[in-house]
Amino acid sequence: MKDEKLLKVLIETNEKRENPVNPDILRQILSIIMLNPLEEDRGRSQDQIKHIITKTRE
Amino acid sequence: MKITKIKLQNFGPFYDVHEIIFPSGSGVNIIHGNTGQGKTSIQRAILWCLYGKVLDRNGKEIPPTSLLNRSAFRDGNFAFAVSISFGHEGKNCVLTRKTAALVHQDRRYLHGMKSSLVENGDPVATTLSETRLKIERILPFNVSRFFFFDGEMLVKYEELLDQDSRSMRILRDSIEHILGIPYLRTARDDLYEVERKLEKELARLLRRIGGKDYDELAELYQYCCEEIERKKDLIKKLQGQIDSLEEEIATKKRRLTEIRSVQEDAIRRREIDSQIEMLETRGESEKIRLKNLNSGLYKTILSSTAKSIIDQLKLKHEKVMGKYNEKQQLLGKLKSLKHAIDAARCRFCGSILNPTKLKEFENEYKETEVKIESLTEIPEPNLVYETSARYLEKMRSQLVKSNEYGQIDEKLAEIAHKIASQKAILKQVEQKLIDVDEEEPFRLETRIRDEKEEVGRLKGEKSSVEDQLGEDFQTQSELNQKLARINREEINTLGEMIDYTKRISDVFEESIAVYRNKRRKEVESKATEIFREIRSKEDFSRLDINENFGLSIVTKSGTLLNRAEWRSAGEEQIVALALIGALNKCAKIEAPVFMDTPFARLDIAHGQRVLTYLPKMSDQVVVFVTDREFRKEDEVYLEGKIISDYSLEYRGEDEGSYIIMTSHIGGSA
Repeated sequence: MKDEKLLKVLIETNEKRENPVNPDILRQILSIIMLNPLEEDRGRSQDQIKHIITKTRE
Repeated sequence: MKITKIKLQNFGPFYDVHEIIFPSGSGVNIIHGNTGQGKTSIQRAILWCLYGKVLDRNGKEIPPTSLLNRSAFRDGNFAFAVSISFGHEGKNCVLTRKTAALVHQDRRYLHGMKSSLVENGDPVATTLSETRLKIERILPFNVSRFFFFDGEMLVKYEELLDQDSRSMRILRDSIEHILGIPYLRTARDDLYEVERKLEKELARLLRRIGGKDYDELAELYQYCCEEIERKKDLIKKLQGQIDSLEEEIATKKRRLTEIRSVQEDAIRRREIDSQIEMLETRGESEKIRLKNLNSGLYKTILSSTAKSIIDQLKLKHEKVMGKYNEKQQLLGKLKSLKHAIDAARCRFCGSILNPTKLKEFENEYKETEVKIESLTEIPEPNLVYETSARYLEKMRSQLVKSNEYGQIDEKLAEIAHKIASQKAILKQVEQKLIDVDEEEPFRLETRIRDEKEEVGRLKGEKSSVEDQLGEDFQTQSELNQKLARINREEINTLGEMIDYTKRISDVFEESIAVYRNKRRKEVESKATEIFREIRSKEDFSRLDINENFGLSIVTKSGTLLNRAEWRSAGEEQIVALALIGALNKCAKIEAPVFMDTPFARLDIAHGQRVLTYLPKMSDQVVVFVTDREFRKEDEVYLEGKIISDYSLEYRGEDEGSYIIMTSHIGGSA
C-alpha cells in the first residue's frame, strides 16, 4: 500500500537535501504507516520501522 | 468503499426489518421522503453501524433509547440492529451492529451492544474494539463528515470561513486527515520514537561500560598514560630537588662543624653578658635593701630612751592600779556588810535577832568606810600608758638587727667581685671574636632548619604523587580491561542508526509543509472548478484557500471577498459544497457520498447545477430529498445517472416507515 503523491513529495524533498537517505526506505516507511494508521498500531509500526532501518543499514 | 445493502431492524421509524439495496454500478441513488419519514434516520443508521454512535444536528450524541423504534418498544422488544454490506479493496464485507436490553435504559443498551465484521464470509472482527479498529482503517470517524453530510448542517462547513473558530480548527484537522497529511506526521512521530528507543539502547550499552563510548574510553586511556608519564617526570624532578637540598644541608653542616668554636665563644659571650646582667640586678636589689635599713635606723637609735620612759610609766601605772583595785574590793565588802546588818533584824517588826552579830557587823562596816575614805583621792587607770606601751612594742619588732648591715656589705662585695671576674672573662672572649662573623653559625643553623623543612615538604609531595601514580596505574589497567571488552562495532552501528533515523525523520518533517501546501493548492483548484460548475453567475475568478483552509472568493478584478462580504446563505452553501466536492476528489479515502436534503437552501437555478454535478462527486452518490426540493422533472439534470430510486412511506404510528423501491437501473437489485 502506498500513495504516489505522498511518496513523490518525500522523494523530491529527500533529493533536495544535502545528505539524502535511500529513497526506498521512505517508500517502505510510508507503506508501514498507511497500513498502521491508528494509535493502537504505533508500537507495531515503530518495531517495523526500526527493523527496516536496521536492515537497510546492513 | 461502496455500500451495496443497508438492513435496518427496529431503528428509528423503521419497525421490524427493512433494507435498501444499491446497484453495483456508478451513479446517483435517490431516496425520496418527506419530513419525518426517515431520511435522516437511514443516514444515522449507517453512521451508528459504522461507529456505534450518532450525533444530532447540534453535535450531541443521540442516546440509544431514542434510536429504538417506538412500536418495538411498545411490543417490549428492546433490540435494534443495523447491517451494512459493502465492497472494499476487492472484498465483500458485512458489518453488523446490534444491541438489546431487558430494560429500556441507555446504559443497558450500551452494555448489550455487539458488532462484527465479516470479509468474504470470514469473520475478521467479533468484538466492539476489533470492529472499531477495522472500520477506522477503512473510513475514520473524523473524516466521515465529508462523506455523510446533512444539507441542514452545511452551515458547519461554512464555519471554515471563520478562521478562528473552534469548529474551523476541527474541520481543518479533518481536512488534513482526508488529504493524508497525518500519515507524514505519524511517520515523523514514529521515527522520533524509534530514535528515542535507539538512544536508550545506546545509553544502556554505554552504561555497561561506565557511561562512555569507545572513543571516550580511548581518550581517557591516552590521558591516563600521559598522566602517568607526567607524574613519573614530576617524581624525578622532586627527587632531584630533594637530593640537591640534602647536599646543601650536608655542606652547611660541615661548615658549621668548622666554625663550631666561634659559635661556642659567641654562646659563651652571651652567657657571660647574661650572668653579668643578673649579678648587677642582684647588686641593685641589695642596695635597695640597704637603703630601706637606713630609713628605719632612727627607730633603733631612739628605742632605748623610749623603753626607759615606758618603764617609768609602767611603774606609776601599776601603783595606781593597786590602790584602785583595793578600793573596789572594799566597796564590795561594804555592800555585803550592809546586807548582813539588814538580815540581823526582823523584816516585819525591826527587832534585833542576833545582837552580837549585829554589833560585830556594824563595827566592821564603820572600819571599812574609814578605809574607803582614805582611798577617795586615787585616780582612774592611766590609758595613755597602755597606748604608748603598744606603740613601743610594735616599734621594737622593726628595729634593725646589728648583723644585717654586715650581711648586706658581704653580699655587695661578693657581687662586685663576681662581676669583675665575669668581665675579665668577657674581655678575653671578645678578643677572640674580633673580626669574626659570629652570626654565621646561627644563620647556617636557620638555613639548615629551613632546608630540612623544605626537604620534608618535597618528600611529602613526592609521596602524594607516588600515590596518585599508583591510582593512575590502577585506572590504566581498568581502562585496558574495559577497552578489551567493548564491542565497538555495536556502538558505532547504534550511533549510525540514530543519525540515519534523524535524517529520515527530517525528510518527513520537511515534507509535511511541502505536501500540505501542494494538496491545499490542489483542493483550491478543484473547488474552484466545482464552484464554477455549480454557480449560476460568473462574476468571480476563483476560490482561495488560505493556510488554515479558510475559504474566500476572488472576484474577476482580483478582490478577495470574505464570508461577511458574501451576499447570501445559498452562496455560502455553494462554496461549502464546492469544498466538500473538492475534498472528495482529492481524498486519500474512497467512500460513497451520502447527502441529506442538500438543495433546501438553494434556488432552482443553483439546485439544477448542483444536480448536474452530483454524479461527478463520487462513484456512489446517495441523495435524500424531499418532493419539494427534487421533483420528477429534475431527473433530467442528472442526465440518466440515476441508478436507483427509493421512496419512504410513513404508514402510521403502529407500522412506521417503509422503504419502497421505485426503480432500480444499474446492476442487480
